[in-house]
Amino acid sequence: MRSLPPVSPPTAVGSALPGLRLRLGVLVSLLLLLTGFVSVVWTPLPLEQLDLAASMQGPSAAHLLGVDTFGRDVLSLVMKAVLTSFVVAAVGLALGLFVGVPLGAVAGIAGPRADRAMEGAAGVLLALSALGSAAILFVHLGPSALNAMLAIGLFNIAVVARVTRRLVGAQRGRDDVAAARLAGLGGWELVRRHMLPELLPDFGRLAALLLAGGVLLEAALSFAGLAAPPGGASLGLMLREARPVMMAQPLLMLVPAAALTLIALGLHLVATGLDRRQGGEHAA
Amino acid sequence: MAVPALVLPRRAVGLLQFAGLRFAESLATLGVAVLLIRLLLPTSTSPEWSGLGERLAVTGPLLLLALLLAAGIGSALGALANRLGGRLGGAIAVIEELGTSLSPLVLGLLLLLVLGGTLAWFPPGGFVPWGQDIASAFLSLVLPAASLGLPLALALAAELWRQARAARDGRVIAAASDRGLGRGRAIKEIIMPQAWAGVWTALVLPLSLLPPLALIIETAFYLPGLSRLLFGALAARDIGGLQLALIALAALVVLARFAVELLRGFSNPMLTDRP
Repeated sequence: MRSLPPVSPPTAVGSALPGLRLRLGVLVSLLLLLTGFVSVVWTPLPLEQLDLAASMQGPSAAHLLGVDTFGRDVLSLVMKAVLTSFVVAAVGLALGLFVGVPLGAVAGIAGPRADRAMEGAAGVLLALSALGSAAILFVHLGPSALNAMLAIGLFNIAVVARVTRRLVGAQRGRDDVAAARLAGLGGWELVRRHMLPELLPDFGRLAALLLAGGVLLEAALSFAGLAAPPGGASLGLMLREARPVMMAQPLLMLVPAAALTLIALGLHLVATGLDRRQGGEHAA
Repeated sequence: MAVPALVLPRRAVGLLQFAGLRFAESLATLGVAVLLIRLLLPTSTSPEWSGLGERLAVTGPLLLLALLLAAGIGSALGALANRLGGRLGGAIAVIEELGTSLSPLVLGLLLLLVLGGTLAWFPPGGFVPWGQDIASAFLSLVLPAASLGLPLALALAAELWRQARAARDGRVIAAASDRGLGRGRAIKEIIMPQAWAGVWTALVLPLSLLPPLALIIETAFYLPGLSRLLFGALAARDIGGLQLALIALAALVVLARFAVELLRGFSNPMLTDRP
């Protein structure tokens, strides 16, 4: 909330925390991302190797995190699923930034009509919701990770455009921006050269938050059966498959739940670490 | 008696006019969303509106219960944090961070496992119809509503604490005193409206996300709400039914957003921009 006066100066502990948060967040996120990338070249067991006799068994020397209902090694599956989460959320984020930032910037500088049009379009996308968009895409494309990418991307476009509009609008009163205007600079050039560089830390924080949101959304959409196809590697799909049997074998639910929460926590720590470093409370 | 300049637009514009404008905007948003849904999902069959009431009889109370839990727990925790000071507030901010990372879906499954399975305090999913046994029907909604409401409650508590901490800044009081306002009136007429507007602004997006999240939670708890209409229609390739479910979902999102916009505007009508 930039409209409020700044809060009192941080204490010694308070000023040490942002760095700690940021470092911890980056460490957790990178470790999980690395785990995902490792799964491209190596997993403890191939996912195609089904051990039906060991189906739903707990941890053992052969299967460190147990075996799922289809006889797949849970550790191998969760490694692949973590990568799916990151990739889907990253594509959704890229879509949101590439479309949402220009849209929001135009709305922020082009006057009330463009502002109202952008706000209306963003309102419609939010009203449809990622779930609604994914359901419509499901009808046309069937279950696939592409559904989740596009649905999350559309949702992100609405959020990014609105945040960019607000941030760019707040920059209009700055002295150097006014001077650049007087010098004849206008439109996209003004935004690109004088506003966006100042907003990079805000966009960094927003990106971390949207990446975390995208990971959670992908899981929710896969859980609902709208994203990853049956048999695919997705944390949401693992939760969906574990739901009917979780009272008998809780680990099948707890492992993907822990992975999902760790990814989101790592990215949230990055976002809040960046925010506190800037000295703001809610940049986006 | 001096009238604070910041309060004047509220009286000039009028609360009803503000509400009317927001209502018209919400209707327009819903209208465009409905057109888009019909355009993207063309069908010659018309939706069966008769089944919608039965589905909303589950989703509606679920959302209301989640909001009640969020408002009750959130405002109590926020007030407690402000009364006890920074340590609890800091703890709430940390818990909120954990709560934000714990998706309602994961929280729901954990609650289901512990309270519905191991301890068996609540039903492990499913729904007893309202007409059959009201108490059991209500009990079926408690865990799903807690999954939706608890993260929102933490967000509300943390935001209340943050806003109140900012409001305690002496400069606001000093500026108000320059305008001839005493401390009490400054808190009542400037700080509190600003703080509440900040709280509602921060909650616009989480509250807009509540209806679609409720459908995911319904799936996890096997509740026969709007999710059953949506996923049943998808499984049966019933485009008319799907249209109906998506229109109902969009209406719930628009309604949630309209309500929070109203609360935000009424808290501090000098705000003319959107969150």
